[in-house]
Amino acid sequence: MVELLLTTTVLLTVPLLLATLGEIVTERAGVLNIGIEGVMLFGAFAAAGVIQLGPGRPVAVLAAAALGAALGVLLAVLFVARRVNQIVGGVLFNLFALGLTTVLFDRYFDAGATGSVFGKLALPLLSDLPVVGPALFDQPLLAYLSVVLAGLVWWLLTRTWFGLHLRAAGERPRALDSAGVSVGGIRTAALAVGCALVALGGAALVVLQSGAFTPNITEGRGFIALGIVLVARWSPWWALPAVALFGLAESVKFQASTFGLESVPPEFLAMLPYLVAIVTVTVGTAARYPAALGVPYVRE
Amino acid sequence: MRRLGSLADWRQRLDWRYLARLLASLALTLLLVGLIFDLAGADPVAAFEALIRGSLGNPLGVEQTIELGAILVLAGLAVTIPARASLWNIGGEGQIFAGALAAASVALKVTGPDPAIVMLLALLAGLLAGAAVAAVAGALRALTGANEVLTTLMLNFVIALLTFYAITNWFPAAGIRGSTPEIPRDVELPTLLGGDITSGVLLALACVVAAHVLLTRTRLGLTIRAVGANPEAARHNGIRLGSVYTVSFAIGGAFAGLAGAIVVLGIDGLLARDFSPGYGFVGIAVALLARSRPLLVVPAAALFSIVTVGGSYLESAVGLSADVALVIQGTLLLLLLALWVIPPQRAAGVR
Repeated sequence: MVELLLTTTVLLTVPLLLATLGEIVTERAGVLNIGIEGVMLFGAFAAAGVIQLGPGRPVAVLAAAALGAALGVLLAVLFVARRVNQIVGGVLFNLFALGLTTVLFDRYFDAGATGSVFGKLALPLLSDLPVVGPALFDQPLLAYLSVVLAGLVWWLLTRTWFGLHLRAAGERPRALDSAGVSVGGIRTAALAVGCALVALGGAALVVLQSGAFTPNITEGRGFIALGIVLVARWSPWWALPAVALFGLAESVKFQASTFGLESVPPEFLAMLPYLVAIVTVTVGTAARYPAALGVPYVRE
Repeated sequence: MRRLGSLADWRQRLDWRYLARLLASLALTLLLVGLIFDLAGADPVAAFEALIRGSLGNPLGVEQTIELGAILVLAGLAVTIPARASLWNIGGEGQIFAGALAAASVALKVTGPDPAIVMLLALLAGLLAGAAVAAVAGALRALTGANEVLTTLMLNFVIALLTFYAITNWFPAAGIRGSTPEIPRDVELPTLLGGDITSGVLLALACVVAAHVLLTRTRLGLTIRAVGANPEAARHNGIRLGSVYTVSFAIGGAFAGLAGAIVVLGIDGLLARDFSPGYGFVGIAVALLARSRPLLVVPAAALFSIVTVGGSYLESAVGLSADVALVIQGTLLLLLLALWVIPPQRAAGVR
């Protein structure tokens, strides 16, 4: 019972983790990407589309990441080059994404398609551990990969020149500009990398959970990731426990009866992630937001 | 302070480069949307023609366009008032849900008084519910500095889920799944001149005038605009920022709540789970296009209403999903923003 709960938690966590990592990258560079929901939706759409065309799931996942990077560059044109307000720009992009994916889905997809999901890959020895073994070490490759990506994002942000410049773009863009580095260039690269990760999260929804695309498949998960970024304090490592908490809340919803929670209406369980996010935003206001978050850079 | 909307301002803005950018963004929108129509398997010319025919070319379409226009006017005002205090209300959707739920609850559960009284009570309940939900976000911003973009965004989901719960558990309807029973005929809003158009349209227009007067002719409006122009200066002049935040959000939320009540009492005649295809978010686009001027909200809402009603007609006319309206609206607004027809606002950080 606990084992099943943990296993579903991990599966539900992977898309959220990838989206959270992507948002961390863009926010650390000073870009608040509310369009995360739309990028995730496009990622899921691309993955399902490529699967339907036939080249297989690994190609589908890569295609989703590539589309995400392209969308990141498109958003950079809006947010960085044209200094469009990031909040309205993001909201409008989400409307656009929901509309376009739904319209194209109607036209090109077999509505009744039930695709398949990635098979599991048991790690030798570790997967034999009691309880946690099957949950943590008998999962699809993409699940392990998402944890590796958390480490990679941490390394990129804190151990490379690119990461240093990226964080400077989010904290003191003027200083970065004075040092002769293009703030716009760094933010564009951050959006490309971040949106690739977010789109990967959308693809994970398809290849790990449903196997197929349905209109509005993300159902606000991008916005939940936006909240998790706050809980995780913009740290890729803290993203892991924070995401696990939200994933756990979601999987309890699916297995409410196992835990004697039938009396709690599913709607209230579904509210939990959003309430946690509101509480975090409210009590966590002392948190150090990246100083230039949401502020377009203008050279004076 | 620059007097926005003055004649000189318009003359300055209507230079040839501005016109060129406006025309370019309209042309690009037509081109891109046409491409998307084509990609989705519809003849672009036929689709654009059907869009206009569906919304303006037949009596039923005109009626729907006017009624939806009223809802979008209110959704736009819900964003406009906080925007003038430099606050983002991304929670219009949740506030509309709150208004709809409250109005439906009163209309279905209160049976004692005269039906006309019940109707007024239901409208008032919707208005207050929207105001209360929005005020929460405003108060949190005032008390702890919680970012209002994120709190209103998250509240949307909380209120929508609460509404779903209420529909299945408080008002189980016999027959129709996913909606409450029908509201008694005599509790519904009266129609105009014996036609089919709800009198909620008049309410929406009254709200436009009220919002305009509030912002331009009252002390509160001046206070709101002062906070929006320069919060630090306003604070040094003895304005309490916290109460302005809370009040401007509550007023915005009241408009959204009223929108939800009008949908239930005047248009749908019941509360359905899926009554709003994102009205609250379209309201943000409406307010943006109207440059946060209440009087300009009317033409902006009209444009979006035409596209939405026409878009829903495309399903039967050329076989496109009704969500194509979102594509058109998103493309147009993003291009207007990208080409600086709507110029970038002064830097507004997240905190």
